[in-house]
Amino acid sequence: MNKQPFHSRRHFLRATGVTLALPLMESLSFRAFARSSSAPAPMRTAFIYTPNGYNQATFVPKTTGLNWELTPALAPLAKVRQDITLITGLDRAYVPGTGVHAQCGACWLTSSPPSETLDGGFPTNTTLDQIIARAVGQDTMLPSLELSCNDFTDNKETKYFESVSWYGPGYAANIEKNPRNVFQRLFGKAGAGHSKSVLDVVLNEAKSLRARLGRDDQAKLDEYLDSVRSTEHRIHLAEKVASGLRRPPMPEPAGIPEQRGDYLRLMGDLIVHAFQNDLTRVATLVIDPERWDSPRMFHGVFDKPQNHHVLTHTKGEDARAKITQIDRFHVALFAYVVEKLKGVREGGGTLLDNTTLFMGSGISDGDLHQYSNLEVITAGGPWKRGHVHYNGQRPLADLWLTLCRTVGLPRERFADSKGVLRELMA
Amino acid sequence: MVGAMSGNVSAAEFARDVLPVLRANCLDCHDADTKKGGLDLERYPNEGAAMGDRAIWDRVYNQVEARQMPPPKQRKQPSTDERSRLLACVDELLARPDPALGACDPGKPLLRRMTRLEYNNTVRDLLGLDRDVFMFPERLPIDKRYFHPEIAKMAGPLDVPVRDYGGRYPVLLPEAGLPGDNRAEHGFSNRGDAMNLSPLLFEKYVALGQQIVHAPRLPQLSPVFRALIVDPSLPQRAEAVEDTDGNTPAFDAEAEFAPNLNVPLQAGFDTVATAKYHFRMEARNAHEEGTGGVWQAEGKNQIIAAGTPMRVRFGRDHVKALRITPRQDLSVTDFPSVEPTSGKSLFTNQRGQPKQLTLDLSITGGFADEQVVAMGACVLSRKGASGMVALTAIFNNGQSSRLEHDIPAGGGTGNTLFAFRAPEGASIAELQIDGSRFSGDHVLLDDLGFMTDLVAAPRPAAVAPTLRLSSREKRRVAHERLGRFIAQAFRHPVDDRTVKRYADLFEEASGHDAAFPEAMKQALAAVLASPEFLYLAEADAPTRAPARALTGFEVASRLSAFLWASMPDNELRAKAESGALLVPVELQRETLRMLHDPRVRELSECFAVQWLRMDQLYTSKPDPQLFGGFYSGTGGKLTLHSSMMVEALLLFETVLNEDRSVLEFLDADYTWANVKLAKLYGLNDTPAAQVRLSGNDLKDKMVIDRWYRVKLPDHNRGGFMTMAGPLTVTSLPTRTSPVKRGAWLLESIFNRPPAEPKVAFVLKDDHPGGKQVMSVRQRFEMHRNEPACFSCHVRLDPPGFALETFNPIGQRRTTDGSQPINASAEWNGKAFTDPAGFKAAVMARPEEFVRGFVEHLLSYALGRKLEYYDRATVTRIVNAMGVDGYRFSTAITEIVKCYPFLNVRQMEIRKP
Repeated sequence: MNKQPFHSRRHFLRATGVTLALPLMESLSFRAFARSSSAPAPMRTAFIYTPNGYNQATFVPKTTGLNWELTPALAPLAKVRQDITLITGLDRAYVPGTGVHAQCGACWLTSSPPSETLDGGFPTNTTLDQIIARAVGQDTMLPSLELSCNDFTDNKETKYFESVSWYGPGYAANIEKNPRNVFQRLFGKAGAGHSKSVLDVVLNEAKSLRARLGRDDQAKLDEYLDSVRSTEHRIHLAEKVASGLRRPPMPEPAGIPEQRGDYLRLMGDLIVHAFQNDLTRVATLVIDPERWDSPRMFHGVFDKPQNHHVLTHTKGEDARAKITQIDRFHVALFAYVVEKLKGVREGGGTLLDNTTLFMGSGISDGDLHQYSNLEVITAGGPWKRGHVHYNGQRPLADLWLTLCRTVGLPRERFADSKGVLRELMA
Repeated sequence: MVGAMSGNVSAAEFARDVLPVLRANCLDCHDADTKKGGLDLERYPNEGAAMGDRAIWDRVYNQVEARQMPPPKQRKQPSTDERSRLLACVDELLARPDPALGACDPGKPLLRRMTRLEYNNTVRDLLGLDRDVFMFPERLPIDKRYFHPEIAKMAGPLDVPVRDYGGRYPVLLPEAGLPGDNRAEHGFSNRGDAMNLSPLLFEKYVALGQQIVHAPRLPQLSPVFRALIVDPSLPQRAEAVEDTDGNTPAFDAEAEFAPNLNVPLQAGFDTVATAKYHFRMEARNAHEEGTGGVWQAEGKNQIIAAGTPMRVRFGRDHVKALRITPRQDLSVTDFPSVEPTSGKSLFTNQRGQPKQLTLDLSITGGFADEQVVAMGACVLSRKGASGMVALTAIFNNGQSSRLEHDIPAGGGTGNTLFAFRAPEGASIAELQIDGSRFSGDHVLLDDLGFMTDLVAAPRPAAVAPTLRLSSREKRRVAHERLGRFIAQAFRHPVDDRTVKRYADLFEEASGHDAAFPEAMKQALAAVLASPEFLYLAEADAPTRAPARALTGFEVASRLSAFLWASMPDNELRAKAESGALLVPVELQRETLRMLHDPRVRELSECFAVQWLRMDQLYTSKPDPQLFGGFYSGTGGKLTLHSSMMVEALLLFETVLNEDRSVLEFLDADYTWANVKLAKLYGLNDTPAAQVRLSGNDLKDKMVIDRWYRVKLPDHNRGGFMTMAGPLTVTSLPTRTSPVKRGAWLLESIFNRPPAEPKVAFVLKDDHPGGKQVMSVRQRFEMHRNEPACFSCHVRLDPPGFALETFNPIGQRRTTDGSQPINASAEWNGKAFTDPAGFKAAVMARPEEFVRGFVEHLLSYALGRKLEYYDRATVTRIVNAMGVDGYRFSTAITEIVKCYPFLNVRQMEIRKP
């Protein structure tokens, strides 16, 4: 072998093509790279999606304001209730012709009003997380992070179930389900073969193919072209990050943890670390897809696998009580992430001050498939605390429009919004 | 406008056959004011208006035909004659050429990325691998060696070994993979609109391309790859040369290690060790991938004289051999007082000679570096003899490993496995057997299993180039090789500019001092990440014609994706190049050739599994308390999942291979059963039910893996509808679901999925455990009588009720809870009381099923959703099948010859 040293790390990568950990330079601390301490901390946003609605009776507090009562499902919020904004009674319109569950997650964050069905019968369109990512995510290694804790390997449902994050009509973001892959994407390794010249070649190939396609197909192939471009962007920023990050802030996960709670919390940890190190400013996490009729274990809650969707359609107190336990299990994850965010110092406060965390479902009552009276738990960020109930007077889109304002997006409307929820703004 | 001008006759028909029926039956709800369901039929006062909005009229057709509209509960209904004249008129309208195109619409050009399965298969075939590239869940855990489409007969019994679902099997990259694809709405996962590509997935493709070209074993496994990357200036390394040691004793390696399943002990383990199981699996895998096998020592009084090399041939076509040279005479024989672990014979020392044997081991043929890295043998126990036996493996680095075991007396009961693995980077050069402490005259062994790998030998300091090639000449070689490879990978000829893109990568890497193979790998990895590779794409031709015929290469690509879920092979490519594929007779001949290639099994594993929703089978978990019969073996590990899957596959493949009528999918007078299913179905008189299970998991597995084609006593079984698999997939863990079963039937069998329920309905008193007072059926009937629910349920319920005679795991039952099963209802005007009667009612109009089947298959073949303009094609194919006894091959050949399969639209059609 020739002993001549490689001219640069990139040449080395290019020449070997093997997966390599980027060299980690000891001299720089990561924070130095992330931003100068005088600049204001960026705002982060995360959305956690839970399927099949909630048990209304044990979830929604009867009292509003700061003294809302801790219902059985919300009990895990006890320690963080001063950070919580609980919003209930928001509405969404169901678009007939497609499945009741299919629209729940896919259109939870959509920017299309229900009348605008650009994707067959579905009002899917660029989702709120992507709109925010395009505005605030261009300087971070990943504009956004799309995660899911659906570890079933039979992909029996359509993409409308898998992803709450959409780049455009009919264009669902691919999601990562394995914490190990998320870790590697964030902290571990610069991808093999991602050298500039390989990307150049395939980009040119795509352009030349695009020129030969019809118009509809050009738009479809743009998925590929855009992916190459954002990969270039990521690689470029990843090199900068790697030169500043002393070592990964957490150990590399081995894979998908066996215990359900560990899995959920690990995904939460990854989001917190990504935010803390400013690797991304927007994240979505799908706890489970809608309707996914496969029994799964909720370790430490039930001793047998439970089918969340079937439970919502099962009569009897037994089933109701089980849904409450599942709701509480998911709320506990929310509380865990809130505490994690709060535990990170940032500027004069904590990471939670600069993060808005949402958790909700696309339906309220899973049994009746009600698109009305939706609940959203919110924590952190510049929001007034306490419980506000809208009693079906305002669309969910109003909350999303309000969020646009808080992150500095000058939007007049979002989907079928009527106006900003001023009473929520601090 | 065009429609209005196209003739008075048809205009009059619309006015005569459609408008009066609309006025009398539909406009109460679907007028401009009410617009129920968003549908305003007043917008179509004449045929021209209807021609401009034919997608709507396709929906009207389907609703009226399925008698969903007018709502069945509405008293006023059109007469049968009115209905059929309306349908005929709409049908004719939908079949007409598109006014804007001036031709029938063949559908848009194809642009879709490959599915995960197609990616795997394409890379496999591109590199000539005999295994999958990575593991993925759609690959069923079923050994497909039983599948022989070249023989037009599926005769039993068949051995169909299954792995644990999720278990490992030999692939190129055990740790790599891609994320799965979601299926389309009412469709298959290969539908372009259902698939997206975003940065996450793109990066995975790029990384996977790198992993593939750098897979350590790829050069060994793929001659294609070796030929691509080998440095043209170096002396050619020893290719996999054939073993030519002509005159020495030779045996063929077998796949099964100790198939008699009588090895209770393992040296080095105190208790029964799972290692035995692993060693068996490893040996089988090694045999399958051509890197090992088993010498079962079969023979009668055969002496291998000391110093004579004996060969055990293995590898693909048995081109390689394990050479075993005993230093003492070796006797292969049978022996009365022992139980060999395979066959009837064993190997031992010559009578009268010491009970010590030394075997020198080497590999002939194959690659220079290929060596034995693992080995196992069984020491046999013997009646009236016992004592310590020691085996020692000597490694080529001078180290050794010794195992000994005290063999108890008794024939077979003390058979003991000795297994060795060489340390990393070393190989096994010699096996010493010491039976001097074992009583009697003989040390007895059987089944020598071995696995090989490429063990890097210390390399000579530098290999002198035999050719002096300038970098320009090397680039020319690289360019040439890449040109051929890229044309295959992209499934069409490529111009020089395209090849140059990748050759430049080679050049760039070479410029940075990468060796020739490494530089080639960079170029090849980029090919695997290219959009031309990842997407099946059909271009807009430069002509301005409204539609165009596909080129030969485009047809070849569609054909191989359809039938093989892979790329064209050389033969198909040659026919594309010569233009033969564009000649209908040649196209038909080529299609039939492909139908007889083993790769056609993807029709079964990919199409049929998705069609029948059996992709959800392995996640079905019937309640173990209620349906214990589903689980057997230690810890309930032997479930019925794979048995149910195999039964369905075997029916599909029987019809495919024997070219039988697709109506057998609905109703066949036979099924395939193993002992488990024969018992589940109560087929006690069949040979499948006669086999005995022993309670030993390992032995039972082999028995369960044996399949018999059995005649069914009546029509309550036979066909997919009444098979355990679909019946289980459509049930909940604790009870049946007539709605799920009905919806499955409407969607899978008739391709007329019911509308999504708008509001959920809850069964009253739904408690698991069968304590309910009302049967599931009684509770559903309360619900269907609500008017909002009736129109769907009038279609959903009859099949659901008919199938209520089967419990959630597909077993016949007579009661549900405390209530007797009532399986009677009505279908197509025919009353029935049991599944057989229901099937007879369905079979009375076979074209309803055939049409649904053709629509599914055509949608899969085209990789897109079917549209109204495909209706005429479907009708033609169904009719062609009708005159041909509905033979499977007719469906296939009619699809590949049909207009939308061979043509594409060239212009955008604007919606009015």
